[in-house]
Amino acid sequence: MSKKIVKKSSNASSQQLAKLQQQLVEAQGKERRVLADYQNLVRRTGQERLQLIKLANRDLLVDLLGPLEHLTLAANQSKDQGLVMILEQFKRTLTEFGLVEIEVLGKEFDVNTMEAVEGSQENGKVAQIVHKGYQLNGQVIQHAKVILK
Amino acid sequence: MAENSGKIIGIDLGTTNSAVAVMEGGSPKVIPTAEGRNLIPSIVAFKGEETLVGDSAKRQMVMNSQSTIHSAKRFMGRKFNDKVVQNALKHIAYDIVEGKDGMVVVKIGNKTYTPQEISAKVLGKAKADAESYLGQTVDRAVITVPAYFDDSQRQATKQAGEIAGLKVERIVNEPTAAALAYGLDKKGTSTIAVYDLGGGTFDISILEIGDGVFEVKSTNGDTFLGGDDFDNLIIDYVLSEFKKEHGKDLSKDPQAMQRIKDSSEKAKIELSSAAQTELNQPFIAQGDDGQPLHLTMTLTRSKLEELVDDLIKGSFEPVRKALKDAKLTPKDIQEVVLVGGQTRMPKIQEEVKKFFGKKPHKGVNPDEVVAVGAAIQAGVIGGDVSDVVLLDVTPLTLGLETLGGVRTPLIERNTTIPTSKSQIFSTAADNQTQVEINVLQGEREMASDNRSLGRFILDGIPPARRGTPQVEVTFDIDSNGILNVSAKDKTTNKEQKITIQNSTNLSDEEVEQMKQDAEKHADEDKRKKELVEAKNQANGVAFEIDKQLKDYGDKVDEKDRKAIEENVKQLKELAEKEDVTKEELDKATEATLTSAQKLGEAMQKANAAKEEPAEEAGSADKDSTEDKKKGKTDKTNAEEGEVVKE
Repeated sequence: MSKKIVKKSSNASSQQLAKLQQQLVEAQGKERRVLADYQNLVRRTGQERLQLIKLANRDLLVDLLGPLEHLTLAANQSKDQGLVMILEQFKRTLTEFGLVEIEVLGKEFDVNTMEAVEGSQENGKVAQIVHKGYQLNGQVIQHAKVILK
Repeated sequence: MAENSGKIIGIDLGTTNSAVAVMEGGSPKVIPTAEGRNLIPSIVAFKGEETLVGDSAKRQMVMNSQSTIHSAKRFMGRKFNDKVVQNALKHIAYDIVEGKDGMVVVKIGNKTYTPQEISAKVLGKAKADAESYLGQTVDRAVITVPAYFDDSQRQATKQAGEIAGLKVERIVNEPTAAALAYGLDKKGTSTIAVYDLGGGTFDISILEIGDGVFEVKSTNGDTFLGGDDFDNLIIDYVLSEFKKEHGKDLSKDPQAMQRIKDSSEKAKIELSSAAQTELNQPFIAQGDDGQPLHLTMTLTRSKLEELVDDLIKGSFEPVRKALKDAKLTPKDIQEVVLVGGQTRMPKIQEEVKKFFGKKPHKGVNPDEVVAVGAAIQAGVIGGDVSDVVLLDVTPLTLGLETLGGVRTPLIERNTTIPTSKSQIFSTAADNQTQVEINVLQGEREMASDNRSLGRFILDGIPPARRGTPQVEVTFDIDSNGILNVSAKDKTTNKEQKITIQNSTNLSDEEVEQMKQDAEKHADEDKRKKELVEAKNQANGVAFEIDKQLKDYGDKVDEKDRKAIEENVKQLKELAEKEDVTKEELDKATEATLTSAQKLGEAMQKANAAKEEPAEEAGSADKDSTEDKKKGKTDKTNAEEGEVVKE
């Protein structure tokens, strides 16, 4: 009788051991997964920070593009020498920060640098610029809005 | 790169825009596209041999309208003769025809594409962006669909995923995903209304949840109501006002129209957070007299609300119908969730709140909430998420009381737990043999304004000069919110600890109240803390100079020594005063230090006489001055057991 009891409890212990071993394996797996997520996050955060530094002025420069556009309209309209000088100075300053205008007039439509607001597939060349396009340190920050004719 | 198991991504495949998210470290993260945005326009274009998807397809849509497919979702799993399909025809510029088994297909030149094949392109882009972001292959996804999608439409969506190279682990209803994003499945709630007003469609869904299972009770909506309709009303208003003022119709001028369109959309967005905004477009046109015309107008939020009032009111008709179909009243709804960018509009939030009699959930970005919910579901399927892994945060800052009754924080609020933080502290007085640790919870600067969670004393610290013993205090919170605080003398290794249950168990109202109190008293608390710190510094300086007077006082002139003693006495008296100001203390401390310079010189000479002839110019002087300033702080009547920060 006692041998049966011993055998039964020994079986129960083995089962429990197997169960615990299984749980341990699962828990270790989860831990590794969480650690991996963390390491990936650290790596990605580092990359994002470098990107942010590179494009640190991006938001400010994008906001300045509207006033720049309007100043250009004003300078074209009034032909005032002083205003033209101020505009040139403003543009030079922006260039120093890595801003480059994307030249599009007369060119073939390029979806990477332009957005078509009017025109068709057949007329593939830019006839009019609604908004100029700009790149900052090689990255397009504003696509040129163009009319094709 | 760290090893990582295959991730399942969650994709919101929308009519106008799509988004993709994934669980990372137990939290859902929306994956940015290669273009750096969080949304992918659901647009596919065929340009010769090239296929464009997303933003690039959108940018050439106007010039290539017949080969640019948008809103393919409207045709998923539908037959060509379906009323919905026929209705949609007037909104598209590309051709759709009857395909195999009477199903809708898109015709581009000689080729035809099923809506699944078109949507597969968008899903493929989501997959590629996710792979680029995660740095690993992604081949499993959870994709969301509207709650009203029938079996044919769901199958078509699944097929689209498979064409894109994704094993679709689950198709989840969009309102269900939104509810998951807010954790409503864990709140034991029973009825939820999801108000989804996106780019081009409006959906209202009534859900019931029981035992973690969602059931859709009813759906309704307007398949052609979205943010674009709101923009158009603003554009119409701007055009009519300009015509009134200048007598010129700008609608035929494509350049002017583009500028008005852009600034109208911008104004709509700004008015969600400001009461009014300016539309300024100089030189927008030329008058008949050749003079430039400028568009300049103020648009107020109330004017915008007036313009779109019909649209907003109209959206509640489908809501009433959905409730009626579900045999419920607005009062029966326990939770309301807002989805879609247009729900950022304060007027819409206000009307939803008025209608249901409760504040809607809107904390998660409404453009991304469905993708977030899909990611959560993906995480559950993939084993990323379980009850244990969804981590809590400690709602309020935990710290301890230090010299002068100041609260020194150790674990900042909203720190994810489990977590552990240690810091070394020291004694405030010479020969102090015990320290008292008063564990505090709250956002205020002074200890007495925070909640004391518990106190204990560590004694048996060997007598030493104040600031010399090193007592390591550790705060450790486990995932159940149980806080263990220990203090250990690093010389003797003697340790005491305390266990505090339920350190994270505060109601939202209590947490909010404490945060508001801290904000309200922020300036006052800052002044109090600065004053205490100034007093601590004054006492520290007084103590140090007293010591130096004892050691080197006989080496300075009688007159100088008396002046220093007088300054130290005044400084101590000032530090004891209740109504002293920080500025008075700082001035007195500075004056004391200045007067003690003679003492410094004497010390220097004495040290030089002991050492080799080479003199370090003023450095010993400077060190002792710095020491005094840094505040090896002291209260001559410091209570024994008081802890100072090292």
